Amino acid sequence: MLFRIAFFLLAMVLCACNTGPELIKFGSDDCNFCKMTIIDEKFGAEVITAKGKIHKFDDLNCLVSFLKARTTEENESSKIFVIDFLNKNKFIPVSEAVYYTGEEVHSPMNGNTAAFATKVDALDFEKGKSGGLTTWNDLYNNLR
Amino acid sequence: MRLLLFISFLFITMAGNSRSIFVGPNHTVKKISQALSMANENDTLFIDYGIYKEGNIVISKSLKIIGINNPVLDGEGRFEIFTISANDILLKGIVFKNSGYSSMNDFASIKIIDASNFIIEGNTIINASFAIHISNCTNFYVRNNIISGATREEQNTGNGIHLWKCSRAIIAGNTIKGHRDGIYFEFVTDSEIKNNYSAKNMRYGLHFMFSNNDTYTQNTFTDNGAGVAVMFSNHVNMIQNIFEKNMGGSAYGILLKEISDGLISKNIFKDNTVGIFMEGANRLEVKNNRFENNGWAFRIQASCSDITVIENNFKGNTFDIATNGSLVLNKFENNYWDKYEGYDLNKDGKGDIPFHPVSMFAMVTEEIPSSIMLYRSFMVILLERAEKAVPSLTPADLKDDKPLMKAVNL
Repeated sequence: MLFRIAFFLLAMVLCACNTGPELIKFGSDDCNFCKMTIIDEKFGAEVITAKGKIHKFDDLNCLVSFLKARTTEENESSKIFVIDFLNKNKFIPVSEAVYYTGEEVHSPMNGNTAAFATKVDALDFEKGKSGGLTTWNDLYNNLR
Repeated sequence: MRLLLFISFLFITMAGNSRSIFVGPNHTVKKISQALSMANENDTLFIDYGIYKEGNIVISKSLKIIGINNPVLDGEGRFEIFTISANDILLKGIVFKNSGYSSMNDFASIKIIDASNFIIEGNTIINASFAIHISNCTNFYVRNNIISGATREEQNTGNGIHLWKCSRAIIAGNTIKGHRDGIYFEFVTDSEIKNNYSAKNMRYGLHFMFSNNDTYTQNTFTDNGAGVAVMFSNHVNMIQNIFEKNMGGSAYGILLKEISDGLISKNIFKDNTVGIFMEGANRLEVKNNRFENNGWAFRIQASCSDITVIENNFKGNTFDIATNGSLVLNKFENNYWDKYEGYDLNKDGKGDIPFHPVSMFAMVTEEIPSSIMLYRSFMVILLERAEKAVPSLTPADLKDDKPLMKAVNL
């Protein structure tokens, strides 16, 4: 019996230690920056702080605004993810994603940037469109 | 109605060379697409009662298209029904049903692109993703339409009336239900939203983004998922609207974020979780509003400045004002607060001691939202009393120096 309780407690502790990204509940979670209900499954981002607190965003614009309001140390100790434009359940570390910015992409807060897991996906999407591919560093400097 | 049609028909036939073309099962022209290819500029199409399944119909001529006895255009769940890119259009009295959904393109029942001087009037739109989608247009009316969305998954539903990069629009007398946002404005200027009824939409009854110099008056927003949002805009006036029954963890009568230079006057905020939530707002006047039976009447974040709150009635709210900091750059004056316990010895109608509308517990819940479960417990009431005697947590400067003894007559 004692063993079972101990096992249960251990399981609980381990659950609490999970610091991966959490799926966004579209239609009920709020964007931490603009306070809007997150609704568009093509866009989304998460910041997980060193303490494990999860902040969710509906647009890269909001993510960048949030990060710019914090200190560099805070940002460096956090994990930052964006969701794949093609798959709402796929989280990509922010610096590994490939981005497309252009007016064909219409995101909730006017960031107008789509994130892709692979360069192939991004190039595929870019075909015949007016915008271009960009990196996280450029986005961070160019978005609000 | 028939007579009216006949008269308008006469006028139309008399004015210049324009013709009338009748479409319907009992007329020689059976299909709308056929009539469109026959029509010249400025002709009138009368669509008689019938059910039309013609897929996507593109209209690129200036025409009047008028339904007789509510003809039904069915998109069969696959097509955008009308795609319009011509000036001087009149679209009236038609029922649009079952337009399609696409995750990449915003399929709409009526889509209008790059046009000006048109009227969309008295149509009924049922079970659409986007109902009316207008982009890059100027000078138009959307009035007296009845729009009711499908109860499909929220994220797959579009907006009822969606305007993008438009100016000089008048949106009046429409009823909108069951969409993502009832009315959505993005980059829309010099426009008016009047007398609409927006209810049971999944997100916002009305949603403003980056839209300046607009006015909305006499609308009713009720029972929407998250109320109304006015964001990143300036010079927006909100007058005589009713915001009610917007309830939920992140539901607000109005959510105001990053907005400046507006007037919020003569509105009624009733039965909302939060009446007004304000963040990053500047130079707004909140005057002559009624806040009744809300959880929080007014949540004003410390990032707001030069907000004037005068001559409002606060009645039956759990919390009147809540804030998240001690810095106060806003003015509260001559409001009626039903929680005011002061006296008026000189009988000038104004209380002799200031009223502090922020309760200690409102400050605590702002920091730790889940502490709300302790509300009305003995300890909290005790702390509340102690705070009143010796203020420590609540911002001392947030006060109404001249609270009214009697409610403003509104």
